[in-house]
Amino acid sequence: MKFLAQDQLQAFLGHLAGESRVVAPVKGDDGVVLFRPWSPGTEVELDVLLAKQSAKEFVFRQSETYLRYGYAMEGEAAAVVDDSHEAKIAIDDPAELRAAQDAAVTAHATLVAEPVNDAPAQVIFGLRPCDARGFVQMDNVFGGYGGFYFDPYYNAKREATTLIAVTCRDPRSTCFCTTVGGSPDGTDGVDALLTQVEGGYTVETFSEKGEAVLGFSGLADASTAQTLYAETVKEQAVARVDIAFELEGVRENLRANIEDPGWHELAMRCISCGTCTYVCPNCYCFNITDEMVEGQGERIRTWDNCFNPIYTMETSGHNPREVKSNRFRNRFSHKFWYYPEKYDSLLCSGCGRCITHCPTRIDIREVLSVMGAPRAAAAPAATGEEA
Amino acid sequence: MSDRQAKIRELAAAALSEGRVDYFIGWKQGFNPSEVIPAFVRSADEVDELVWNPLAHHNLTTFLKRKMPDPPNARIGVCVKGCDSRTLVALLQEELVDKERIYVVGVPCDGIVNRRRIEKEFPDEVVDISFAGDTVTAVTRAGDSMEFAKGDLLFDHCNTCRYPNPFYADDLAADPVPEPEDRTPMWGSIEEFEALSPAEKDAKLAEAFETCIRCFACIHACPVCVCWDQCVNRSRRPALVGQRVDTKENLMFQMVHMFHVAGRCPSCGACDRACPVEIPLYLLHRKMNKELYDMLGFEPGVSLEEKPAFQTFKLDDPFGEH
Repeated sequence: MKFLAQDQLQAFLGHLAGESRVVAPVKGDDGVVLFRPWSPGTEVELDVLLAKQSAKEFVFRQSETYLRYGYAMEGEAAAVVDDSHEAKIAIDDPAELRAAQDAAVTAHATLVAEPVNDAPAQVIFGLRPCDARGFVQMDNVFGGYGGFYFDPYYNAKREATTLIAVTCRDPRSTCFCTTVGGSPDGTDGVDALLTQVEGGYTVETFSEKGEAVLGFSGLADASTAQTLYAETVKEQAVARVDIAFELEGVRENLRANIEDPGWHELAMRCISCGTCTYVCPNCYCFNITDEMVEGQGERIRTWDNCFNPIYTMETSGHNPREVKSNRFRNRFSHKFWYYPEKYDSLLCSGCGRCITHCPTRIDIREVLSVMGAPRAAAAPAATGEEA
Repeated sequence: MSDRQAKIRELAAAALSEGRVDYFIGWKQGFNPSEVIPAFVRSADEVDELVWNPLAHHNLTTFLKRKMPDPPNARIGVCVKGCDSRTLVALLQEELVDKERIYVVGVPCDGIVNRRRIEKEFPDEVVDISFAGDTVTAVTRAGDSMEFAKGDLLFDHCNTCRYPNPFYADDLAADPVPEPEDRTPMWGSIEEFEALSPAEKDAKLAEAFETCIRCFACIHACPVCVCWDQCVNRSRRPALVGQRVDTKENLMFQMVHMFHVAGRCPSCGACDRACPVEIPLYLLHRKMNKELYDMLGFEPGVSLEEKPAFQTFKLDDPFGEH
């Protein structure tokens, strides 16, 4: 085990920044802590346990450009298009004009598409073990689990990313990582783990990428006292995280309770926004759109969320999740029922951001305590909720 | 227990036990005593969970707007503060809420505390906030505590509030609190913004909207944002607002919201408080309120007889003279 003195932290980050981009939790002028690209001299905020957003955005980008496209109209083709454009300006009917222009472009220009996939090397520093575990849970979906689908965009960034996590010394009351199989000192997905001890941090590594950070010359060997101190910090942290609900049987109970009127009651105060999914370290749903301006465009992938009314809207106009409580049910069922059924793991790492950031503090622990437990058989209520 | 809290419980219990409402929406304690959240009470036995204290920031009229009432023909009891009642009036002006189906308990208000100001004083988690007179005491999970003067913690819109008493209510939870005699709006930090050069304004807006994650909490928390499933910001056909999340598109999305609620939004600040990354959205709406006031002498949600500014045309509109 190595030791990084507090006064060496900036030099350590500077060393990492020599090889890659460094992303770290930084407090803005408004006091809001977010993961932001780090530059030398910037203070890293490790006292506040969780940044407002998880670090998900830096691997699973909120806007990911798949490709750029447009019409190549060089040389002769461009001249022909320009000429025909000039000639058609005289046409009064806008529809006819548009058709004529389109015809000219189709005849003389070539549609070109250029794939984009930028994935510079980066280090995400100062994330918590729950955030790192979130990536492992997303890897199942994007990383070709069982040969199903391998996403080149996600994986290029994931491979180029080193995760240096920091043990949670003071877990919050809303943390429930241990309920879902994690830990404040968890190492799932973690390349290197720092633990705050007196005067600095102990450094442990768990992968080749993690070992690469040991190249920093300012690291010392950790003393026995420091190692023992780190163990105590970890033990105390684990003891501070409460078991929030009984995980055993949740999957089966969610399935059994799918039509239970309790969903409707729990969703009453939900305002159906997407905050919980966007601050979540492992919600991964997305949409793909073509954004085009004046003949040049980009195909982009943007985050979507199951509270979005058009998330399940079908072309026919039918929406199988017509009302708020249907959408509400999906988020919890996805994380604790359908995803586990497919990947044999949970889609939740217990960071608690969905609880603390929800505008009405919908509490996933409460939802799973109620709906993840056996329910007394009740006749399905006709709720009359308006679609 | 505050008098207002006792009265809210009493009025809610009466309305529920007499069958005048199907359920009653008030405030209750969240997952710890530093959090207050919306409460949906279905029977008189449950009214003891209702609370009133200066953390009751939610504008509950958002649960009355189209698609939210559940079921749509439910008779609903609801608590409103002064600012909340103005959004209710805006909804009533447009006949978006059926007056016959609601029972309104007005809560005269002496200002709501911005919990985020307290939160930022500690790296640790705030787990308890209590009130004694004008003193606010916050306690963290580790047991550290700090005292604040309530006046230092109020929301910006509370400091400039001209209408602390509900405009529209069937019953009041207390006698009206003293109101300012001069109701001329105060614009606070908007005037500072207006004094900036165009380039400085651009920079300020870019800085504010860079961190937006387009989660739509602002528009869903907004009581007068009523398009719900048909919001143009989400629409892919027509695709009028780009889905890319960057400063420019984020600002465009917020501008759509701002213009769409202009004349209907009394800047209650619900958008601002819902934002998970703390963008000061309220300032946009406040600015629009100022424009409307300066141009038309119009204030949203202060008269049941009036229509929202952009839904009427009067020959004698005092355009630019106010």
